[in-house]
Amino acid sequence: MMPAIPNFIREVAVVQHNEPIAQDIYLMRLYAPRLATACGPAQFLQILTDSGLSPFLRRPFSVLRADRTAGWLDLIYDVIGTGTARLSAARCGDSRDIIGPLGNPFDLPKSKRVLLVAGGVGLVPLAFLAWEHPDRLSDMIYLMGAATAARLPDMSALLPPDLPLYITTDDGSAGQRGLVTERIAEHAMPNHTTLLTCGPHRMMARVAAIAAELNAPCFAALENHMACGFGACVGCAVEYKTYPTEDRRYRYVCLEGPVVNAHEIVW
Amino acid sequence: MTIEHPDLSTKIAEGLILRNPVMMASGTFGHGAEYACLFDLGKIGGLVTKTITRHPRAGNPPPRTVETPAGMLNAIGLTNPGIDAFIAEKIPPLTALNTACIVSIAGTSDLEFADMAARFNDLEGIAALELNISSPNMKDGGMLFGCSERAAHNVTRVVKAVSQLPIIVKLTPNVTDIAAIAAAVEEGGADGIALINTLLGMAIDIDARRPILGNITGGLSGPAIKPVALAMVWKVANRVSVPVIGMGGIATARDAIEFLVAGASAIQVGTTTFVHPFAALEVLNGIANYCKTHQIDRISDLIGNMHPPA
Repeated sequence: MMPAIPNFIREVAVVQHNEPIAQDIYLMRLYAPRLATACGPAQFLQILTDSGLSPFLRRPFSVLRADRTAGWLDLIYDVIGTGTARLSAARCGDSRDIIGPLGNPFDLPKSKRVLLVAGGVGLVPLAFLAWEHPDRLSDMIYLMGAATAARLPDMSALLPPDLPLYITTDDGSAGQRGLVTERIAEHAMPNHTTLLTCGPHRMMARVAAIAAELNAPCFAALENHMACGFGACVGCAVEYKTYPTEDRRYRYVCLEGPVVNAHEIVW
Repeated sequence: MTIEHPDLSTKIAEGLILRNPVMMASGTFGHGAEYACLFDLGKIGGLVTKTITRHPRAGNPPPRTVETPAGMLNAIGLTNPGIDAFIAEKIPPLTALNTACIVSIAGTSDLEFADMAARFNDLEGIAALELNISSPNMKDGGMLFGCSERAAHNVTRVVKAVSQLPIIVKLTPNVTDIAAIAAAVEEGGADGIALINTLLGMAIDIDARRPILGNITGGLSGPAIKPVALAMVWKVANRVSVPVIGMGGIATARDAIEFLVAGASAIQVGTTTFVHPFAALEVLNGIANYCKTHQIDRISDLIGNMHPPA
């Protein structure tokens, strides 16, 4: 059976801040008190980036951090297409129609070591998880991968100060040179590690494979194209390795994700 | 003076009157009951379930959707739990809804359509069946029936012979003369005709030089197809005497009213729900307001009531 449709909120949010923090990467602060209260790490918001018909569909965004008292939430997004280009043009005081929160959140595992493996703007839901659990920061290690220094935001502004952070870039222009996945083994505690990951598909697939070698639990926050975000279009299909009936071969990132057990899906 | 309470009730098939002409289109609203949390489904005229097939279907490999100008392509592939699980699990919550529930079915042969249709004879609370003879994403049936007058006529006739429910046939726009197909299904005994399903479409990633959809082609829907749908509804409504249900890119009350004026007895909101989950309610309110301000007592006075060109 497919899970129930979430009882999401529609809220018109007001842009309080929208500035680049790295090459093509923006941080947007929205005043949206109901969404700020309701959303959790890795859940997503479906934002109408423009009021016209272009782009036609909403775009999904993950939340970096929320201040439930002040009523704001922060997003980080990579300008990769029409929707994010429209969003990057938003000015303070502009409003955007949003539905959410959608999808399931990251749960913080009870294991002694939680490796947060982030690639690019995949940093967002993992950062939110850390912000939500200040009492568990000593159990967490944040591994951040970026293509280049230019594409790497100032992470100290985005993460809790006490969170151990290791940075990798593909070209070595910041942090250690190489792939973030190459840093996993050195930080994993045998039998006590859970991996949580978000980033490019190939990176997450590699994290899942390494976790399998380590015999460690691994959960990934997927990012798929989706039309609706609430189970109606059944477009955001992800294939599972095993399934009880043919209609459950694919499950939906919006309803049964974006957080999935990385060992259960076909990468 | 304005009309306070216009009569929005409308007949969409022999023996089936809806409280108002706004329906949720098949394939855009699950099996109905899942979305009872969104808004009071008792306010809309009716809903059509996602299409059910005899056996469970996984659907197509991803990517299944791609955005296009003012619309989208989908190649979902009729993912569904199959008729047995549908009847066991989805019918009870569906029939508990306070709206007209129409079940969409698709088969791979006349016989399979008929066998499936017969399964609903003894079930309470189903208002009608919609025969999906128009899916561009089903290789072993679907649009194959809807592209031939003879096949469309035959499947309608065979289903009518066994079913006790009103039969609505949903047509594909991917044909030379949709009015001829409509006439054929009317002759086959259809109680109502719904149109249009999606237009066959395609998108290519020029960097990878690959089709974007896993299924290569898909169905185009959304506001981009509205003028095409409107013209087809107008043509069909002028050809047949059974009620016509119009859809294709309806996003606003203005769009919906165009379809009613063109001759549709009811309209369905589909792809727009993906972007604006509450659009159907806004469309309904807009239709009611239009009737009030234009002194229309009964929606039936608006249906097909188009003046000649200026």
